[in-house]
Amino acid sequence: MSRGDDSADLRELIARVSRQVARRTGQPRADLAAIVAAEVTAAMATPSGEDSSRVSTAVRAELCASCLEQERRKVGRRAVVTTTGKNRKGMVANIARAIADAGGDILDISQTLVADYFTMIIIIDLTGLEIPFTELKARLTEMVRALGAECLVMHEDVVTALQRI
Amino acid sequence: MAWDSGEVREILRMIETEHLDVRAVTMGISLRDTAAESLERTCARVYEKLMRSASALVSTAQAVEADYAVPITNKRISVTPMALVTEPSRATRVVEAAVTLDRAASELGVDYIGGFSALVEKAMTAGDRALVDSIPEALAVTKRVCSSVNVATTRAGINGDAVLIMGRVIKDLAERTAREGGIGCAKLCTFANIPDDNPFVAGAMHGLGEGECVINVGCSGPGVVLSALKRLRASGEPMNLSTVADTIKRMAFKVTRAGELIGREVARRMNTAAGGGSGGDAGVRVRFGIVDLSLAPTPAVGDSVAEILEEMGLERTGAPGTVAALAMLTDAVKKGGVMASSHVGGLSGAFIPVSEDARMVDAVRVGALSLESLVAMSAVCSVGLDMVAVPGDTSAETLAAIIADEIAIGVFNNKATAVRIIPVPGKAAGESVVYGGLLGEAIVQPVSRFRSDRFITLGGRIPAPLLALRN
Repeated sequence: MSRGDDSADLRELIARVSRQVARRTGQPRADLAAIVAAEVTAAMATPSGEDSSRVSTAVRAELCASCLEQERRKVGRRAVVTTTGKNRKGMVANIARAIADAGGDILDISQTLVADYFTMIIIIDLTGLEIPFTELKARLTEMVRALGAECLVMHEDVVTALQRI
Repeated sequence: MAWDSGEVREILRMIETEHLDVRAVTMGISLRDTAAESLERTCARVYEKLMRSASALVSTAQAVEADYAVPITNKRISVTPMALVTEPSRATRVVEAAVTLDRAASELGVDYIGGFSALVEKAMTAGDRALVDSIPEALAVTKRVCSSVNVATTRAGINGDAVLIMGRVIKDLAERTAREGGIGCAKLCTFANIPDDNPFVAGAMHGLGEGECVINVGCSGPGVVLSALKRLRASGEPMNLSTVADTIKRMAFKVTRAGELIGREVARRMNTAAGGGSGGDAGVRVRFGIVDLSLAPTPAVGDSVAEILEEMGLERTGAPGTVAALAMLTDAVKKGGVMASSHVGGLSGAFIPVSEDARMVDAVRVGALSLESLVAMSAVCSVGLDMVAVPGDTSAETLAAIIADEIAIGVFNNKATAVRIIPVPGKAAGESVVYGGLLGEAIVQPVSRFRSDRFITLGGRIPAPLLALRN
């Protein structure tokens, strides 16, 4: 049996089950895909012998991670943080720490530096955010302003809706 | 997806300094299943259904507002025209129904509830008459209830009897709320071709072809358009009518997209809440309805439709050229907005509510903007004579004749028009009256001293125009 095809099918199945569960319960949980992945792989491993169940444990871990990632992209609760100003030591570290402290997860950073001025755009995953979005926005804006730069925080959906056709 | 910092900056600027907001998230709720054999029983059922259907509306809208950091100024409800709901009770006074709507609205925390309405474009049934007769008292004793009466359609023509009755209703309502400058009249619209899915008050109602529950959204954004035109002028790029129209179109697209995003998200979350049994009405699907593209001004400086017209090159709104400029503005808003939304509806144009637009009030104050120029403007924008104050001694017949003119523009141009006029008790032309909040300040405008009594009391109907015969 070809494991590649199998795991692609499984992944799709798990993603679909997760979506259904999320829709019915109305509570999209970050770890939902992981739970479903564990259940599905366990159910599929049952009829086989010991050997294949060992394989599926490895598959399971990989599946969980990829399903989580897939689901996370679908939920799409992401923010765009734009910082512009004169470069200063520790700016990136400070912003990153503030995001991590709030439970945000940095997905992507891009930075351009012209002379001493920089523009940095950070995409944050808000799924695990522990504080309201408005609070995160206020914290970041205030902190960066104290460092002498400007920080703009916007939900990515809003930017996409207004700036892309 | 790669973002440019300028793109993020632009949106922040639109929200923080150019007053971009979602003016209204309006939940349409059908009350057709609440009619009962007695008014008391009807009211109980209406109250129960509203509380059940909309319990999550305000909290959901607030949550979406916080998550997206896009302000939602008003949360509203629109209901089935109440005349249809109260009619089976055979009651001849239905003020109690308005009081019930008001109580539900207040307990749900919504700003307004629209739909104390009757559709009488051809004639009135006993139930319609009971509702229309109850309007003055109903709007005087309630705070959040809005009322509309559709007296004409392009298909049916104009119900002249109803037009005259509305003149009297408005007069009565102004007297009953005389202490507050006749503010009751700000909650009453007389309509031609009333839309079924309008999210804006006072004309909001949940039409007969609508489903159980729907979320309709009204955008705002004159400030965004104004700033874009100012930037165009400052940029040194060639500025002509085409580039102006194009700039407006681009901005209207963005404003509408914000409305579409918020509306869809509110509807989605309300569905999720309903499915999970946490406060919503289990089993009823809340659909996303339409986005109303209208540019709705507020009394805030820089959030004015009149200022856009003046930025386009008019010394004052009302100067010759105003109708042409407004026509272009309205059309560009529609063209930009229609592509940004999957379903466009409601009034979708540009509003010219005089008192709610500080710059328009200024134009009236300096004598640039007359009642007659407002009527002409209404031929090319979305509503009509809106939030216009006239002297308190204007007769019911003259009010009715003003309504008839405005309604005729709607009927004979196949568009919605409405009249929201306030005969301010005790005030004469040139005096001012402050309503506060979104309603702003009005300058009492002079009305023609020539009378139309004999015409307006002829009674009967103005036949439907040829435009109606399209089959």
